[in-house]
Amino acid sequence: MSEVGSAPLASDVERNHPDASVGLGALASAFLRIAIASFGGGLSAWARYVIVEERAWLSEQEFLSALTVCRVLPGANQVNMAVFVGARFRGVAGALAALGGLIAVPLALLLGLGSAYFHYHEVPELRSLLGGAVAAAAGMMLSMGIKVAGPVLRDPAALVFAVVAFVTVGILHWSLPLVVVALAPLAIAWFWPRETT
Amino acid sequence: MTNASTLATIAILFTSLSLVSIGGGNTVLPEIQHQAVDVHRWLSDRQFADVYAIAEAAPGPSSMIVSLVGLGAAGLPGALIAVLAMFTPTCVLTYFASRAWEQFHDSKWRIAAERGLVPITVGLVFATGLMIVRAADHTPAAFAITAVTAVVLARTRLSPLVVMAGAAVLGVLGLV
Repeated sequence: MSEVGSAPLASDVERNHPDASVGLGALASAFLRIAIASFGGGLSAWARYVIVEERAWLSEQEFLSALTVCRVLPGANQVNMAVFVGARFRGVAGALAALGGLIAVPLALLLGLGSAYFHYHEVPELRSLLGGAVAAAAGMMLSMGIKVAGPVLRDPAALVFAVVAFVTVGILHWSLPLVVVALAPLAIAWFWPRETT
Repeated sequence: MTNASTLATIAILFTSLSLVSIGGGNTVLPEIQHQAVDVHRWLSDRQFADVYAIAEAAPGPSSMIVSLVGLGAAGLPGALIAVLAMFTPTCVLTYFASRAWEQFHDSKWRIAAERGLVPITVGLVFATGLMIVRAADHTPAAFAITAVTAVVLARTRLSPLVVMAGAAVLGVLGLV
């Protein structure tokens, strides 16, 4: 980084991200917003919208690479994303704040609906109500693809990696973690910074 | 079976499923169903299908279905223990992965990994989009909503909430 040494008192995070004064409350509220907005699905598209576009906490490249790291690790992708982002800005407390924001309200809602279900033995008519929202969530996921595809389309090598990932996972239904574990080393080798220091 | 031993069974089951849920919570869903319905008989087949529908429709991560399995097995304590058991191991792992990722902040490894993962992620986003479309869109109206949403959100600054709300209203009106 070019400005190393100019701000000796700044922590690592602040040095690398001067605008990253992200508080615990902000982390919790951002992930609460992601959770609530994603009724019908599309969690990762909402996460990108809130984290990259709305709050500008991560760059496009940082968000996308973190997303795939979180998808390869065991566990729910967006739970991992909350911990990953929270930990990055505020350590353990940040991870817990983001995680709490993501799951507290959905959990309370589920427990309410679930208790009603086990008591009355009837499913609330959520599915028909959400028909339109689910279709829109699919569209939101595709819009995220369109928004982030630009740099990939301009680089033939990147396009090859993207197409291989899409075809193997989306069409051939190969295991996503296996595809990433096979493709990532090739991609890392290809994109290794070439200029010597 | 006593309640305490049911709670212990829930804790052990979901802790072990947590660490093998590589690629997302949905990968262990069939095993959750098998254990909850066939092995432990906490839920009937019908009940499992119903709580799955509730979990899918509600906001938040879909692996929160474990809270409903725990609820059916042992009430509120069962629900809370199921969530803790399912999320704690993977969250600890992700926490350390996040710290390690930061340690490499200025290294060539990290730079190459970020550059290399972006195109793979873009391919996977389209793969996921296609998967959701196949699962969700069974009518021409639903396909139209998906297509219009994708284009409007990609090409305008309109808030996704406005578009989602509009689509939800169409669903409530029975037009999807």
